[in-house]
Amino acid sequence: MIEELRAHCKELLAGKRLDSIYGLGDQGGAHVPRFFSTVDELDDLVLAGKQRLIFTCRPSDQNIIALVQGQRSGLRLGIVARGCDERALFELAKLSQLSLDGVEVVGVACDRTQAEECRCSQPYPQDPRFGEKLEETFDDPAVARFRKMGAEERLAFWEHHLGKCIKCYGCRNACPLCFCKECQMERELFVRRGALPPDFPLFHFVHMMHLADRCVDCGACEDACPMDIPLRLLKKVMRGAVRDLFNYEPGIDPTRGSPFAGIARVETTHGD
Amino acid sequence: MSFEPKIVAFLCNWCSYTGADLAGTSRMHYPPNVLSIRVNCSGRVSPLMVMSALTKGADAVLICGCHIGDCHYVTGNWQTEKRVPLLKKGLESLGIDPRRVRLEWVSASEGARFVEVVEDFITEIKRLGPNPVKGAHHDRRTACSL
Amino acid sequence: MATESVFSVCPYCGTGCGLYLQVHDGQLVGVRPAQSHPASQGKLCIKGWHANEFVTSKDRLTTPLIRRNGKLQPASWKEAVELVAQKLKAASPDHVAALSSAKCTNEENYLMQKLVRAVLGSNNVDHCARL
Repeated sequence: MIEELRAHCKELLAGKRLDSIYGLGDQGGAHVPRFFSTVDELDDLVLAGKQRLIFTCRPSDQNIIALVQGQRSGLRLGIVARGCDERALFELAKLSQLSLDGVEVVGVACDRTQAEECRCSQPYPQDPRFGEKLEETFDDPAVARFRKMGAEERLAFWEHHLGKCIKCYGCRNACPLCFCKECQMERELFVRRGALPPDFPLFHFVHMMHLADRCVDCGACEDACPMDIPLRLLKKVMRGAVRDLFNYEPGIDPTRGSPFAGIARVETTHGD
Repeated sequence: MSFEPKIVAFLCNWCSYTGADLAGTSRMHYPPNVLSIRVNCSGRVSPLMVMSALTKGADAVLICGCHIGDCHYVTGNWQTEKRVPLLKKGLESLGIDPRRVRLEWVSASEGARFVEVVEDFITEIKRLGPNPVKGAHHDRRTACSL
Repeated sequence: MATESVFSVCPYCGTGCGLYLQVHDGQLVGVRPAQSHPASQGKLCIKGWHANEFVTSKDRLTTPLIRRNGKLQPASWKEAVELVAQKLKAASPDHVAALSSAKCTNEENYLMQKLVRAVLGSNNVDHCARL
């Protein structure tokens, strides 16, 4: 598939339909996100398991796509996107953090090995040009186990796991949807400076509440956590809550905003 | 000595705080377990404030606002209406009983209703018992402190 | 329009976590952990995640500063070096201490401790990673 993908991208560049293509490149065996501006460069285009494309630059708090769009108006950019990459793109566009104008998604569906390793809710973009859509669910058995836990067990579970936190902010920094200039996870009022582990459970509560309607289930947070805290579990549960209450899933529909995005009245689908 | 819950109540200035005030001026008695915090609108109440209260000594949090359609700022209580169910799901996922947070619409003339709400809430929280995370903010479990 | 991921090692402590400096059109725009690094395995601590920020920080000194009348004031390199040399010569070894930095190179840190131990004859040398 990689050869066909490269050929397709080369065609897009050679035919001048696009100015540049953003995807993963092979750099001495490592897979790094980069822009491909010539046909020859595309020989290094790769598809890799865990490396995600969309990230926020610090300290500017701008994501990488917005950075290049800001530099060059009228840029026609191709993005080799998997399901999670495309969902992040759609959410960021809805939140005015980048523009989808001039962006062409070259969709790639994840194969079975990737889907089973990653366990996201939808291992394919809307319209994958490459790869087969795997329509079955790849639910994490950890979620099912968690749902069966009673309140006491859950509290003990989180006191144990969140108690390991070293406050590296990796979860926040790696998240493609985290770009606030004044992050509430850094606010002294809620999270004391210099206390480790961070105050339970506010530090992680901020993140899970603020991402409830924008988490795209990419798993970057959990991958970045040095203490193996099951952060994704918290996010998956909150995403499920937003789905149940508002029938809304982030990153799926590029035109439908979050129920929390505007001031309009949105009634919950279940009773309180 | 039996358990006396400590309840933090965020009351919106225009309706529910006035309602609570009416209960007071009407000399209606209600238990002293409630710590009232006046906010300009129930829509000002962030889930982070609620969790903050729950980890700094509160056994439960009551949020009162204007009835739907009567918000002084028109759309403020619509935000509260969206947030609180999500907040409760968040509490539940962490193992904190979501019944420790309650949202009620109380108008400026509903002094008696405010008393009813408070008394009912206190009874429920007494049944639930002390909040297991109420001391979390002051917990000296810190591995290191600068 | 080029984004480069420059592999580097975090300068802050002895663990030496692998990271990629995100460089875009010659500007440092961020840091990402190196997924397959044997020591760090795609994780970073808070210092590593912000390892790039000091380079373009607006708080960086642009001239030497000398404290006069209780206030730090800009000075020339000549003035600053002469003042430091004079004070170091006047002090006894036990009354001198040096604090080096993770933002210096290993070679610069080596020179610092050599200066303090061999030239000034003091043992009082430390590094910001110990704070």
